Parts: sequence; C-alpha cells; structure tokens
Amino acid sequence: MSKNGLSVAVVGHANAGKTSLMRTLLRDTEFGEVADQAGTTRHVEGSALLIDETNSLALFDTPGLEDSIRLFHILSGYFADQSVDGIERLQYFLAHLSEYPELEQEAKVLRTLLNNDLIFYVIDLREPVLGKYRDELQILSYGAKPIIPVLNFTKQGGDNLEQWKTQLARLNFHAVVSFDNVHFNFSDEMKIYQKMQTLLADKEELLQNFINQRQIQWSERFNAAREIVANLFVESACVRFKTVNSEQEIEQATLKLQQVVRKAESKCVRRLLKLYQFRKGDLENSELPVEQGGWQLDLFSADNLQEFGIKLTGNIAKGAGLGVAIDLVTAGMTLGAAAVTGGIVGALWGVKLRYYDEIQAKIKGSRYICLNDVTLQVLWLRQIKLLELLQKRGHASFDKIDYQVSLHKQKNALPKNWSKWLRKLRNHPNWSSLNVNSAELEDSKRLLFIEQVSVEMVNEL
Amino acid sequence: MDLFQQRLLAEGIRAVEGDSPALSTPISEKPGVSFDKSVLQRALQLDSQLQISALFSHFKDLTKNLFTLLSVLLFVVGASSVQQLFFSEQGTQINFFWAFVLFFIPNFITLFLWLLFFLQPNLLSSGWLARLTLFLLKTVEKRFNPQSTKHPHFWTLFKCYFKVSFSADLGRYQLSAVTHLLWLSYFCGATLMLVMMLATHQVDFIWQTSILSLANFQWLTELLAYIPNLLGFPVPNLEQIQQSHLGAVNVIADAQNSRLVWSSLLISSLIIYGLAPRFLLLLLMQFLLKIKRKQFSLNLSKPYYVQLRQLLKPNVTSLGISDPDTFKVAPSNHLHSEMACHQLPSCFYPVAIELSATQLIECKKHVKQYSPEQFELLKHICDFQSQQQLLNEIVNVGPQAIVLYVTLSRLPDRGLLGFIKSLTALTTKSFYLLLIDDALIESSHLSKRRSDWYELAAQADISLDNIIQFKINKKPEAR
Ligand SMILES: Nc1nc2c(ncn2[C@@H]2O[C@H](COP(=O)(O)OP(=O)(O)OP(=O)(O)O)[C@@H](O)[C@H]2O)c(=O)[nH]1
Ligand SMILES: [Mg+2]
Repeated sequence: MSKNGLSVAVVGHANAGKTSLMRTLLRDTEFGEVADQAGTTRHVEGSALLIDETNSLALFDTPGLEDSIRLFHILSGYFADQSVDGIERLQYFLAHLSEYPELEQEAKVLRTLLNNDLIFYVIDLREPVLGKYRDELQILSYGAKPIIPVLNFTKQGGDNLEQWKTQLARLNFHAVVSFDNVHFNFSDEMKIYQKMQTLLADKEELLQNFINQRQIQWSERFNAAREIVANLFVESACVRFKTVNSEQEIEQATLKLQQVVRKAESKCVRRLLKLYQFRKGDLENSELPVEQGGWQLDLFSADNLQEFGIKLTGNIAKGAGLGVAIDLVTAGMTLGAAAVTGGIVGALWGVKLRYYDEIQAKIKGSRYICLNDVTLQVLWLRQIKLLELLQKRGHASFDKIDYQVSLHKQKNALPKNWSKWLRKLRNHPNWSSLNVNSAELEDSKRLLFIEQVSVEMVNEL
Repeated sequence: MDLFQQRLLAEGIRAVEGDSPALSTPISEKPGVSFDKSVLQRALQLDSQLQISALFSHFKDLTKNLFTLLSVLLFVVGASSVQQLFFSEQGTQINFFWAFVLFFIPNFITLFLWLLFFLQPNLLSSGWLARLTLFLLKTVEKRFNPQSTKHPHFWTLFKCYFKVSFSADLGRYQLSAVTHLLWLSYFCGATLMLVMMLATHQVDFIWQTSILSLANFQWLTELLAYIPNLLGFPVPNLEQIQQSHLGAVNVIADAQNSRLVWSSLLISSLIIYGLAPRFLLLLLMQFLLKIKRKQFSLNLSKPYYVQLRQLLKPNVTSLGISDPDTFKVAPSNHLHSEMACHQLPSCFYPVAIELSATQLIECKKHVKQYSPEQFELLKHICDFQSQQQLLNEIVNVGPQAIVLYVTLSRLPDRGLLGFIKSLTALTTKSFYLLLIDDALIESSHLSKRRSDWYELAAQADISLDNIIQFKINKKPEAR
C-alpha cells in the first residue's frame, strides 16, 4: 500500500491482539481501540514506521477474522472442477461479495492481504488449535504472501506453545515468532524483523537499516533514561539544607527537604514515562517513602570521617562523631593526638576544606541536614525498578506501573560502589540544583560522575 | 547567523526549557530535513519570542569590551612599567641585563605555565581563569547594565552562554587567546614607551655582576643578539660589550654609537622575544578557536534532545483509516451479568463446542454425572466437518433437550453465533448453554465475557433461563 518501503498486514482471529501488536510496535498507546471482545476493530487502519527519508515500514491493522469456517467453505467451493490458484479464488469472492453481506469484515481482511507485502498472523496462544484457526491459515495462504505467525499471550498460553508450533509446521509455517504485547521484550521484536528479512530477500538491506535504526533508538532511549535517573540520584544525594539548631527549625527544614526530593522524584518519573511514550495515567500513585525521618546530619557520617583518615575509636565514634573533628579545628586540638590516628594536619586541612561551611554553621549555632542513606537507597531502588518495568512494558499494557519497593527483600542489591558514590556526592553539595544556592550544574566532574553512574546502572538492570 | 551561533542558540533554548522540551513550535517542516537541522530551525523560530540571540550578542559584546578594557589597561601598565623601571631614578644609566630579566622572567614563567595547562587540561580542574572572568563579567553586568538583567531568563542564559564559551576546548582556546592578548598589549605598551623614552632621553647602558665573568656576559649578549642581528638590527660588538661593563669607558665618539646599539638590542629583543611570540600564539589560538567553533556540536544523546527528537521527528506517521465500517454496531447490553443458576434437564443430548483438551475432560465428567446414558453420543465440534455432521444429525436425536458445552475462556464470535443459530433453527428442541468457567481468564474480564455469551444466546434463540454456569477449580474436580 505504501509507495516506498514495505507494507505489512496484521491479521488474525478476533481478539487475538492485533491492535495491541500495532500499539506495541508503534510505541503508541493511543492507536486504534483495544477491548476484550470480538469485533473491536472494524476497519483497516495504518501507521508507518519511518526507515529513512524515503522509505517506511507500513503496518495495517485489520478487523478480526470471525467466520473463517464459512469463508473457507465458500472459497474452496468455487471452481470445484478446475485447478485455480488461491488469489483467483479470493478475487472471485471479493467480486461477489454482495452475496455475503455478513462476511464484510472478512472481505476487508482479504483486500488488505492482497495489497501488502507480508502478513503478521497474530495467534492467541491461550487458545487450543481449533478448526477455525486452521481454516484462517488456509485462507491466508491463498494470498500467496509470506506469513509470519506471531504468538501472542506467551505468558499465559505457554502450555500450548508446542501444540501450535507443530500445527503451524504442518501447515508449512516455519518462521514463527513469540511476541507478547504486554510483557515486552525488545529482542523478540528484533526477531520479528529478522524473520521478515529471511522471508523478503530483496528487502534485506532495507530491513537491516530498519533494524539498526530501531536498535539505535532503543539504546539511545535507554541511555537517556539512565542519565535522567543518575541525575536524580546526584540531585538528591547532594541536597542539603541549612537550619538553625533547634528542634522546631530542624523539623521544618526536614519537611521542606522531603517535599523537595519527592517533587524531584515525581518529576523524574514523569520524564521517564514521557521518554518511553507511556501515558501519565499508567502510573500507580506512589510517593517516595521516607525512612527513619528521612534526614541526617551530614557531618556525622562515619564514612565522611574516614575519608580524611580520621578513625575515631570506641565511644568517640559513636557518640561524638564529627563533633570531635570540629572541636579539633575550632578549639585547637583539645583531644590531643591520641584520639586521632593518621596524619593530623592533612586530616584537618581536609576537614577544613570540606567542612568549612559546616564548621562555620556549628559555630554560629546552625546545622546542615541532608537525606539519609536509607531514603536514598529507596529512591535509587525505585528508579531502577521503574526503569526495568518500562524497558519491559508493551504499549498495549493496561495494568498500572507499580514501582514500589520493599526494603527488606534480598534482591534489593545496591551497586557495589554505593558507599563510594555517596561519600563522593556528600562532598559536593554544590552539585544539586535542589539547593538554595546552586552553582554551576554543568560542572564537568559532575557530568563525568553522572556518566559513570549511568554506565554502572546497566549492571543493576 | 553562522552555524556555531545557531547551535549556541539551540543550547540557549535548552537552557530556558530546562529538562525537557516544553515550548511548542508550529511544526512547519519539509520531510527531508534532518533532525539536526530541524533543531536549529526550531531554535530560530523560538528565538523571535524569547530574544535569546540578542542577549547572546550582548554577551559577546560584553566579553569583547571587557577584554578590550583589560588590554588597554595592560597597555598602560606596560608603558608605565617601562618608565618606572628605567627612567625613575635620577641617574641616566640602565642596567641592561637587569632590565631584560625584569621584563622577561615573568613572561617566561607565565608562558611555561600556560603551556602546561594548555597541554594538560585536566591539571587545573576547575578553571580559575574562567571563574575569574565570569566573576568580572557578572560584576560589570550587575553594575553597569541593570536593565538588561530584566530579561526573564537572563541568568540562565548567562550561565549557558559562558558555559559554552569558557568550558572544554572552546574555553581553553578562548582563555588562552585572552592571556596572549593581554601580554601582547603589555609588550606593545612597553615597547612603544621604550621607543619614546629612548628617543627623548639620553641613557647609558651598563651591565654589572658580582659572580659572573666578562666572558659569560659576552656570551649572553651575543646569544641574545643573534636573532636581532640576523634581522638587521644593529647590535653591540665585542668591544662595546666590554666597554659597557659598569660604564667603564666613555670615549665620547663611541658613546653615542654604543647607546644606539644597546637601545636597538633592547627594543629588538622586546619585539622578538616578547611581542612576536605572543602575537603568533594569539593568531594560533584564534585559528584553533575558529576551528573548534565550527566543530562545536550539540550532544544529541542528552535526554533533552532524545525527547526533542521524539517531538520533531516522530518515527511514526499515521496512514489513516481505509475500509471504514459502513453500518454501526448496536451497543451491547450488559444486562445479564448476574450469576444464573438453573437446573439441567434430567436427560439431554450433549454437544461440546470448541473446547481444549482439559476442558473436554471436564465436560465428559460432567456428562457422565448428569446424563450417563447419552455419554456415548457426546460430540466435540471444532471444525467444518463435525459442524456439518451435527447439523445433519440434530433432527434425529432422541432427547428433547440439547446441552451445548462452551467455555467462558473462548470468545463468542460471529462464526460460532452463525453455527449455533443454524442449529437452533433446525429443530424445536430446547437448547441449553452450559458455560464452563475454568478460571482461565482474568476475573476483571469475566463479567464482560459472560454478558457476551448471554448476548449470543439471545441472538441464537436460546432462552436466557437455559444458560447454566459450571465452575471448575484449578484442581479439576466436577461439582
Ligand atoms: N496479557 C496480555 N493481554 C493482551 C495481549 N495482547 C492483547 N491483549 C489483550 O487482549 C484483548 C484484545 O486485544 P485487541 O488488541 O483489541 O485484539 P484485536 O485482535 O485487535 O481484536 P479485534 O479488533 O476485536 O479483532 C485486550 O483486552 C488486550 O488487552 C498480550 O500480549 N498479553
Ligand atoms: Mg483490533
């Protein structure tokens, strides 16, 4: 039907998931109409995937075949005593359509069949191999077009897989592909196109271009998504609010901190949804759970201390935390060298460089608060889960995306560099745009770090 | 607007829009335009609303003015330093080598440092020079241009513009060019002043030392004079060098000549070792800058541009609807969703329609239980032949009731409807529809499916009272 490139007709029994297949391949949640009943689609509707400036792969959705037994009976009844090929039978039928008004939907399918280069025959794997499906395949083979049976509902209908495969082989269909519209798998999609390549030898190069392009788009999108997530992680790990050191003020600042981070998270989620071309409504409403009050004093993290070679022993580490270090700086090494192992001067210099603001804050009676580790972990795991779900979600899905994580599961593994990352991020409060005075965000070190995180994210998925 | 400026503009739009492309543009493009181009086109379109390029050229002027101002300043510094160094004291003697050292050592040190940073861009992680410049620019802008900051996105665009021009390779070349420019104007000032002063003052050139020998100085001077000599500047000869030691001798006739050659040496070495290298480096940097500007490209793999690509170059185009439906389907009525629980007749003729293997087993069990005499007659209808066979036999069957076993997991379609219709049309016997519910379809879809079957029954003249549901559990056991 299209002038350039390739055209494919998507046919199958009613409710087999033809329109859903279109949606998933086109990444278009709005295409056509999908419902769990026969005869949802009652027209032929097309959409084209661009291959390059001049070529495209056109896909046509058709009404479902519903009365193939009758149709096949009619078709094989023609020219009873002559040997006439299938196409002529189909054409004869279409010419005499007025005699069979109730087969109008089937006629639309047949016309599309004759007009296109290739056929996807969608199969609902939950169904047993019934006579009507065999008849459908017979009718389609009259069209003398290459046919790729696409096995849908692979999740629920896995038991029937072998039965279908043997039946299809007996009817001479060998280029079978499994492709679930809801539980999407990109490599399965590629397999469809690769099968097309083997069936359409003269379009092999064109299809190869198309496959390459699809792959580039896919990885481009994945990379972009990971960058978005890495960015959120950096933003939330680096954010810190200054507050006066009173319970009330701290509580207020904590609330504000939570709010800001939650907002950033939901913004990130919306961006991801948009990037993956899903609807906003696909999302299960879920707010970032804030663990253990959600905040901590940046200063008192033991990790931070160790970075500067300060190893506090015993009670000091537990109780005083960095207060010790501050006292060292402010009151001038009151504790003496015994409390500190490692180069004191170097450590102090490091502490001064890094904690200048905090120390000043402490002297002036205010403090900094930031997101605690557990909350950050939850935030991270949620985004990873979401990304995973998006990668595996077909555009025909109706169930909601739920990316809630429970913290107590075994499989919630954090990246192996997690604590290293955190230490680094805590040391760069200026990397977060959520802070009040955010500095240059395009800092090259920050960009480098984001890249590093998003590269390692591949291992997490 | 050249390509660099257009790309810069696109970056400006990105800065204004933030994370994802939010501003809408009328898509008025030809199909053949590449994504790269259409981004630039979009930027140009949006520019007319946002006035970004005007602001950018303002920034450009600002930088230019700042650099001009600085170089004028250094020109003056250069000039006055000559005066300070050479002509401040009452005496009319210039210690030649001291003057040379004073001028060139700082120059050489900074040149060396520059080279180091230039070749090792990672050495200086956060460009302090860039920050300094930015700070200066900011201050100037705030002080002298308060009204331009009224642009709604002023500081965003400010950051964006200077991020591009002062970072990465572009920034390296840009800032290098500036340092060379400043040193150049410093030397220009110095040279000019020197020429002027020497033209209007009479000074004697001397050299002195505590630890070096005369031979050392001779060698040094000759080394220094080598290139000026080649270029035709008059330079001091051996005798004149010796004479100048502490201004030892003053043969009147020779003094004049000696002043001339020493002056010439000083001026020429200022030009050759100070001015010229900086000038050449400046040209080189500007050349590299130009090349880098041409190479400047947008990072299209950024999430922002990936999203923009989806907007501007959607890879799906609709081909529309062909073969539209000619008549409307009557909306189905969902009246029959309540569970019906009717009684089976005591003796019936069983027909299984389109069941799977496991469903058929269940069906057989059921028949055995409720109508054992007819068990042998059970037929499974699943293709054309069996359909025809049943249609032929149906008139002659004994029992007055016929029970059709169908499953809720199958969808009633037109083919099935047609078949059942023709069955019911053949005899006056009463038909029952037994819906096997084997929990294969999701419960959310169940009531819809059930009402589809009720509708089929209604259309096929089966009384709704004759519809019976039969639930089987996952572990198959008949009730
Ligand atoms: N779980 C699951 N459900 C699917 C899948 N494909 C389709 N569906 C569901 O199956 C039902 C029918 O899908 P449609 O895409 O409307 O089927 P169709 O073949 O276009 O139907 P008609 O237009 O009526 O012929 C819908 O409820 C879909 O949500 C799949 O791969 N997995
Ligand atoms: Mg459909």
